Amino acid sequence: MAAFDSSFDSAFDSGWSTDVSLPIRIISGVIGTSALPLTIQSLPPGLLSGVETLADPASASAVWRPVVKIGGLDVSDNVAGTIAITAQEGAARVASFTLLLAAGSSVNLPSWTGKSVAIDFSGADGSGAAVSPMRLFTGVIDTPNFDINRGTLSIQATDDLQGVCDGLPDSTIDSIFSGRWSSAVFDKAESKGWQRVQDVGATVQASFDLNPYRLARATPWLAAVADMAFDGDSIEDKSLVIDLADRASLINRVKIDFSYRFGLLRSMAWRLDFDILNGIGFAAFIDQNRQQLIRSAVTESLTSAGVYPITLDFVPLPTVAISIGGGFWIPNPYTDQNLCLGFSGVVGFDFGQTRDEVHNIVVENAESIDRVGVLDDTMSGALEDKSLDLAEWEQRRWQIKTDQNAAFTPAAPPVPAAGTIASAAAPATSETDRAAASNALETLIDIAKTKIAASHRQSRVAFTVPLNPAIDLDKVIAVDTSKIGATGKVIAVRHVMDVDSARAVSEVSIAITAIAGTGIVHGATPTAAAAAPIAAVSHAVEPVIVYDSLAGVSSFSITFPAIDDEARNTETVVIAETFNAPLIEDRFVVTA
Amino acid sequence: MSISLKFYADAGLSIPLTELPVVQASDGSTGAQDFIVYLGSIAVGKKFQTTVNPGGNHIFVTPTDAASGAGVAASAIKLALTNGALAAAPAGAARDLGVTQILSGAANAKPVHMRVNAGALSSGTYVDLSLVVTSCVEVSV
Repeated sequence: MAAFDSSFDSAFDSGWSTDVSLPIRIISGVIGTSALPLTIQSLPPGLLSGVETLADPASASAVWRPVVKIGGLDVSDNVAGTIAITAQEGAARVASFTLLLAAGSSVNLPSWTGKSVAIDFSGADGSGAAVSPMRLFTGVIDTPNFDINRGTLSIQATDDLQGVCDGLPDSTIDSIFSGRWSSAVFDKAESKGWQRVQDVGATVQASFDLNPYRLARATPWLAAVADMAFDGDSIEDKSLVIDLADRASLINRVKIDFSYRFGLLRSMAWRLDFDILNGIGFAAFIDQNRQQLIRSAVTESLTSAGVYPITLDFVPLPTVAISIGGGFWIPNPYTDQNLCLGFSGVVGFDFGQTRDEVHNIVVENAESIDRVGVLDDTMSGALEDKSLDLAEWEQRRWQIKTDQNAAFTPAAPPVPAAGTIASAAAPATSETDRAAASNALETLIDIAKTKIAASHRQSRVAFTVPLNPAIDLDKVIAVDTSKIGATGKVIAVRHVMDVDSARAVSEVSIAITAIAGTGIVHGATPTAAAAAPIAAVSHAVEPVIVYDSLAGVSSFSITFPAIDDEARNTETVVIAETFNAPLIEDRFVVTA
Repeated sequence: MSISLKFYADAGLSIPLTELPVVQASDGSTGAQDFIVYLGSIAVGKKFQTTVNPGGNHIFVTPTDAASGAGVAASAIKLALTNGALAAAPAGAARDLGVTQILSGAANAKPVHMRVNAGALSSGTYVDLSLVVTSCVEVSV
């Protein structure tokens, strides 16, 4: 049986052929699958909210245990003594505990540094297995210390807040805070990572930390609604302590001096109307042997003065024969087009001026000043736009206006109306323009507001309760005992678990904002930078036009008066504003 | 040697995620919780393409339930490319990242928005769910 039909064989036999190829592309690399496991921790609502805790000795079902994992390995059974986890606003969360090492076991101490650490506070079932674990700490071992005599390994672990922040891009930090940042206020080269957290954080009334799972977060200082409440029964005896802020540490007024120096592109305009006949009529003018004005003399006079026409119309000579005495003046189209009987129009002169916009800002809380007097602080800043050399610009403007072949096109000022000086801000970079100046000013104002708010939340109410893992830096706590009623955001917490004594407590400190009275809201003035207007102004100086029209001695000149120093020299504009710094007082009532 | 394409907690790829903790009340009162994770690689000069038809197929992220019928169902997870798209995202469905390759470097990381709503769950720890990325090959650019 033939493999091909006769037509194919025929074609083949006649010499027609082709190659068939199949390229094979081999990609050699690492093959794998990325996965992200989810750990869903479902907890009784009471534990999650902190209403209940497994460490409460008043609860019959209170059975707790720590779960300590190092490098993913559960070492809970090796923990001896006390496990302490300390969290504080703006600082790294740290943990310390001690491991009992089996006698004779080999310890590779250097390998412990940097290992991951996770600590949970957990319930336990009948067999001792962890139930409803709640995370207290996630971090890495900072320092392992081996006690040769006791055979114990003391672990100091940290969430490495600073290191984590150093790895965060600017955009992530900025989005966490929703604060302000200005290259005129902060050092652009240095404001990275942890330093950027400090910089942006200084503009926001919020704390920054890593949560127990080591994720970055910002928590507002505002303690409007309590997440948790503790009364005299749940607070450990004699643990309640009040620490009021001293007067000297308060700041209730911040003075900000900020200057913004930038260039103004200005243009001054004059109205010119000149009639060489001066009312005597053309025939008499000619009869007196006077000379018509040469148009180029006008334009050259303007050019030599650095002035350019915005609009300029020459009064033409008559186009018909004019009877003069016994004869006639006959028009000559070829020469008359270069002459005129006068002109009218508007001419302009471009010049630059430097403006110093000086902002004298006061940010204050008036109620605090009423209560404790003025306790002030000062801040300053400056921004200068140097992107345009005004002298060079002025020269180039003159060139472009007088030399149509000039190759450059410097920025133009607004076209002025006659008798006015029009102005516009010189083109600037995004780091030195008006928006940058406003941002710098608003950044300083927000820093001042934050300073005032921070200084007024230095009072503390501290207490100890049975360990409650729900207590963290993002919580607002209400305390109500027979002596104290207070509500504030947690500023520090230390969870302590003593596996030997079975005592587990949370030592809590809440920040209290208080000056005038409980719960008073001291309103804020919205942060918004003002700017001095750049408006057209009128001027009264007029040029002097002299034309001697007698034939043979005729001459023409326009003399423009010098521009006032006020219009040309550096102008200082002072803007004074006062902003109200907001304070929302926390509930704080003490009963003797 | 494993592939360097991983999930991170931040756009800068500075915090690698070995797990994503989700804490909720057992009565379901916590409701839906939104997360954003970033799929990327801090390796230098690498690209990641699907193992099957490299450079032709799109890369997907798929909610995967390792214990179907027990634990938490994959339908507890919604995935989207933006937070705003989460509401309309089909529960438990794979999310097409819309790309045939991912280049290494933080600038090229792909954000994945996730909404977890497991509803009421008995108290306990559930580890049967995970996000799994299409099998990829890692090669130099």
